[in-house]
Amino acid sequence: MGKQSVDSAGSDRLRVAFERHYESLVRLCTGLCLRPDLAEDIVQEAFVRAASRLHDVSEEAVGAYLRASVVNLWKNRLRRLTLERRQLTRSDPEMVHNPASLVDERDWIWRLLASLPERQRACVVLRFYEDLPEREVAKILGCSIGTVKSHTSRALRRLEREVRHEA
Amino acid sequence: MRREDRLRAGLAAGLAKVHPSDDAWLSIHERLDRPIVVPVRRRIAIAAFALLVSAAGFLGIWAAFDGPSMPKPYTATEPRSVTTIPAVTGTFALGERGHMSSIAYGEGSVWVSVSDDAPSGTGTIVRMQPPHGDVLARIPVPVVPHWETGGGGLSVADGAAWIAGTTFDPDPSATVVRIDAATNDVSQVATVEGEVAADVVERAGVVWLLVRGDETTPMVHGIDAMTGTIESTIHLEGSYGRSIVAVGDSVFASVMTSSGEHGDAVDGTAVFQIDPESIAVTHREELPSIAAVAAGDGGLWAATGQDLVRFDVTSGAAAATYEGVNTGVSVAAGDGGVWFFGPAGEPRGLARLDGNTGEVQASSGDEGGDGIAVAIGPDSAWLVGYEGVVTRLQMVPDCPPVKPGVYDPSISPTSGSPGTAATIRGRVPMYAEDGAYLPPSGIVQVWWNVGSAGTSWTDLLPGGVAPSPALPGDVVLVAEARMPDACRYQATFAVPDAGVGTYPLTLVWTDGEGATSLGRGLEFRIPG
Repeated sequence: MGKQSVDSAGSDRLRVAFERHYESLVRLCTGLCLRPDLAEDIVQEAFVRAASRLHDVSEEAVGAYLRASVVNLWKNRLRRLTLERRQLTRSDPEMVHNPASLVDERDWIWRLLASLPERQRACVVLRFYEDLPEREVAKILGCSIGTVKSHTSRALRRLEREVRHEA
Repeated sequence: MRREDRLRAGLAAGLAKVHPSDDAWLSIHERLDRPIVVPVRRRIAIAAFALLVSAAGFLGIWAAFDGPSMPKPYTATEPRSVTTIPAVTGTFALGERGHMSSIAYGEGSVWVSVSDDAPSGTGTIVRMQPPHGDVLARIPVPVVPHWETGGGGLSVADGAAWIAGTTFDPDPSATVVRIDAATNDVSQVATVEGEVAADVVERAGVVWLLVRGDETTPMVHGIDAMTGTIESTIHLEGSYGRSIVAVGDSVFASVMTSSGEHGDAVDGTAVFQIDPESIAVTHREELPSIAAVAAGDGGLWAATGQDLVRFDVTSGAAAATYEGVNTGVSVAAGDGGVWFFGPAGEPRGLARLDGNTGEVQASSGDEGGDGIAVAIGPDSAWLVGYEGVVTRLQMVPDCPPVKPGVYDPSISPTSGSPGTAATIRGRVPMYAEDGAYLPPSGIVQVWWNVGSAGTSWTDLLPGGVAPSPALPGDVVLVAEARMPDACRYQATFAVPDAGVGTYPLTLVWTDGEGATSLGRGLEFRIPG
């Protein structure tokens, strides 16, 4: 067993990155996973992993670096959660966690996000919350621009249905 | 609204309600210090790999151990976060005594209305830039809001500032003015039915103007934001209209109501929920006193003088009451909290109700003493006062008071050879040499003056700008301490390679834009 080693300059860089990006990353990640508690866990994990690597990242690129790290950790966690869900479904279907249970379900945006498949949701959040161009979204999610376009288009159609349903 | 824009707005509003925990930084520290646990299967794989390496040769392993030494484990030095309270962190003189009438935040700016105090009702809108309060523009306008206290009549949304007031030519006419936020030009002036315009809000291309109701009952006009023409009008029962806001799917108008034998005692408030589609009142909520109403963070609040009332924006009914918080009749909501100050004649320190915890954090002073109205900006509240001054307030650590002018940083040890680790410590809040409050969000820089002769520290801060780390000569930046949300700061540095002597150190506070000296310097001695 070892410890994460960070020198004092690294700690300062981490602190600056924390002050600049932590809150926005937690919000981004909540949009992805719909659970503020899980989002904080993932974002903190991203900071811990970044602690010893930030010296290799230019100041302008720290935000993008952390964002990519958060999305990757979310994707990894997603795989784990999918496995957990499968196990839970086998043992006790009632115990399957409702992902939207920790956000305000009365809010249409949470209902919409919860109704989207994970990759559609990621496209929507990165495209319309982070305001990233499609090329950047594709790069972060590791897919083609065409895939981003189709995911986004489907999500927007679902939004229209949600709006009509509300009306 | 386009579906993409609706989605953007929905995501921004929904995710803005997510607030990270206060101890997140501490949690990250704990994780950094926590041993890295390697899963069993991975440990077996690592062990197998190590055996393989050992089989490859003892020399390889020796080389691995003979590499550079590992850096020292990181030690957390940041103190745990403390309670925060509202405190004045800046004051800006804008107008003459008695000429200020309202304040609003939007389009990245603070907007303040200043009356000319002329019979025509004209005035100026001053646009300020947070966080430093720089004046971006002074925009002459044909009307300004004319409430003496509580603000209103000024709102900012969708690329424009809207002002509700009255023109006198010579008879009074309700007037609404649009300022284009991109150009700071007055782009529209519309005079509509009614005498006195009380308040205005824009929502999705419709300007909702509340007319006070001097000759008739109060009424709300729905005005096309592009053309300035009235599209709808709804009359409200009551004495006079006071404020109008848009939140959720509704528009809410507050109207003062009367009681007494002759109906001449204005002593109540009715809050009307109006459906903007059907232009119909869908709910009426009565409050038993004169109240101020404000919207923010998707919520609706009323300050009744003593209590703070939260509304359900879907039903339009009062949903919760925070009793006895002494609100006065000015309130603003946003950025996760509700700000207010007490009624005139009573202690009027600013207070903030935390929207997440329901706790009220009161300031220790009486910053609200001459306050007229409050607006919420990012990480700050802005108070416009009767004396012509705008005050910026921020949540700061609730630390033991430090008197302005008191200079308390210390250095330990005070002497040692080059390479010795020395630590500078000081208390927050801090004050500059001139007594100005320095917010705890900046950085304290420690400058070592290797050769003190002829170097003047004021020369290092030309125009109040932080000195460059690349300064020529003998001045060296040895350490920086970032202000944590705590009552102390500290920075450790290695004593530079210098000869025997006593060296002055000076502390400079900077927030990245401005900088100021923290006063008399410290000294460090390198003995022979």
